[in-house]
Amino acid sequence: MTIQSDVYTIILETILMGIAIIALSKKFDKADPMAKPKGILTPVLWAVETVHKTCRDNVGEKTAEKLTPYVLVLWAYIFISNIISLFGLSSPTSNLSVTLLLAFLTWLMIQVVELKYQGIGGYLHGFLEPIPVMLPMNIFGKFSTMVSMSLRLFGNILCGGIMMQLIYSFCQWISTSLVSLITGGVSGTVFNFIAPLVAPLLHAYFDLFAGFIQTLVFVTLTIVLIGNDIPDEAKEA
Amino acid sequence: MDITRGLIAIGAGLAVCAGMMTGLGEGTCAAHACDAIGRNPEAESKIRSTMILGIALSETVAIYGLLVSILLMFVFQ
Repeated sequence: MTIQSDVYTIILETILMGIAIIALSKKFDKADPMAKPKGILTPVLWAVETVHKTCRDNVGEKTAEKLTPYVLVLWAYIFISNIISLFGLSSPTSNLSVTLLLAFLTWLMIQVVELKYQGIGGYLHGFLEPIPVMLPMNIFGKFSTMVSMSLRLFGNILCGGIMMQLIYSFCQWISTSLVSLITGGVSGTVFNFIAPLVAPLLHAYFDLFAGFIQTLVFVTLTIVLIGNDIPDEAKEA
Repeated sequence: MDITRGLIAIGAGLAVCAGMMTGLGEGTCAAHACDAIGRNPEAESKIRSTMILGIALSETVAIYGLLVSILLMFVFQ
């Protein structure tokens, strides 16, 4: 049995993020709440405020207090996972276990919110709406959120990685043929000199742009789907 | 050469056809977003984020096709 290279990246990223979060919270504990924030604290505070504002607009004041930490960690984890392939590591989100777990957590939250605001009776009755014949459809529909959210992130990041590998091997082929054309048929490994010219722009698209958009979509969907199940009068309170 | 490999390649190509209409849908989405921005330019940031969300959601179908094709290519060799 071989261990996939994603597994090492998952462990590495989790440890690094844990250390960073603990160090940041130590720093926040020491900082003076009345003084102007300085250094690394400024962007972190900005991120917390932005996420908290988005959560408050969608799920209301009370739930936002509990949802904001989860959404922030989700943002950081998915975004770092998506752009970690810039450093030559394989991204954790190109492993279905990771994205399925993240989508499962979101799905679990949606179910908890539904149970809280509809009650067990209302939750179970939701399976029989609009007509009882729809029961199997509704059961599949409940799980489809989890499947589609996880597969969207997984598919995008995996396909980006595979495209980059294809482009690298294509550039390798071009450089080998060019060198053998010039030198007159000398075989052997040639330095892949086409790739540094072509790859940066594609890395910017597949890793940075697609990674950012997919993070945004995952996080926005999490907030919006949880907000959908909260009635408006509970949001106001 | 085994005929199975050729059939797998055809199947992988057919699976990617799931993305055929996705391009049309995404183009329609962007066109309507342009219309909306032309009608009220002050709502541009809101329209942009909604458009990106809609495009990403409709892209899912294409991603499913791509996944099936990748599974066919790398799992059933």
